[in-house]
Amino acid sequence: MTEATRSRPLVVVLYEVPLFVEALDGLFEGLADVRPVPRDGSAEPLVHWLRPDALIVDGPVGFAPDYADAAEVPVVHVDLHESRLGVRSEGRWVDAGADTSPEAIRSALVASLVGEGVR
Amino acid sequence: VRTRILVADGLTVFRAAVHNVLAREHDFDVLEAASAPAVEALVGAERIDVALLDLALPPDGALPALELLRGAGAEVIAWSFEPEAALVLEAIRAGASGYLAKDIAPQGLVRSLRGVARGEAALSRELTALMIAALRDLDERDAAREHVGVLSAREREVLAHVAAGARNRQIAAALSISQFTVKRHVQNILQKLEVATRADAAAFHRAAFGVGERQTA
Repeated sequence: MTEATRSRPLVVVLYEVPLFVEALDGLFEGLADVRPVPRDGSAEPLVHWLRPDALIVDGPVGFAPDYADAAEVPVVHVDLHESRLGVRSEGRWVDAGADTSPEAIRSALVASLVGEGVR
Repeated sequence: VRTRILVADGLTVFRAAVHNVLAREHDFDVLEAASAPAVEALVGAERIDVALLDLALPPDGALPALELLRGAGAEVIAWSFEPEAALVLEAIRAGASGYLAKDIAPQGLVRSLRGVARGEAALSRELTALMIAALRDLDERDAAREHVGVLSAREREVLAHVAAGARNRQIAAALSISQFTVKRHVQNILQKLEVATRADAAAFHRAAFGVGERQTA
């Protein structure tokens, strides 16, 4: 599906921990289409091909900030080791606190998608 | 009978993940706890067959909750991001039936939970490697202890002081013997252990009894 024909935003979940994807299961129902992408050698070209409207990343951010800045889409970074949530929008990271629950991730993503930023 | 699984983890993400994964299966009920006090409350109120227990469970780690759960007859699988050897082995010694890394695939998690519910161990790749390393350490320790066994009781006392970094004068004072006698004991120790220096002998002692452990008998 191309960007023009999407009825809902496409969110790519770039993951290191498979269970992280499971935690988000059903979380964006009715809000966005979610496409999990494992962090391996094909992740970057796949993300470029998918052209998502937003990224959720667990683990090291890797290429995500560069892609997001160029494509002007937000990134929600979930650091499960340090229990921190961060949002990158318009080329800068904003700390979104220590709550890494699925609901907090959804709130951060929705806020960044509608351009409200993180409170 | 459905297997009752307790997910005890400080991170909501992992509790939600396990809940979602097991909700798709037909043979599990899931309970959740975010801390050791929450585990304690559930242990008294609910039947728990298998607990998936985060090694970093708030507030003080997994061990207090592990003891409670084992006391209530639950099987316990420890899990964490990184398999820190000491913590994992401590959990196994305290009665855990296995260890899983949190990057496990959902199907692997389900398989492990079913296995432990049947009385099997959850031997992940990480745990297997840790167990092999621990067994090797034990073998080396046993060999070193056997070797130290050729020393007399007094020589072992002297060796313990040498391993603690004491000089002959200090050892003589501690054992109420002359420095000459200490020197002779040290020479005998080096000869019997077939090592060249005091540092080698100290390393031998550490291999046999661990760092900081004073074995003098």
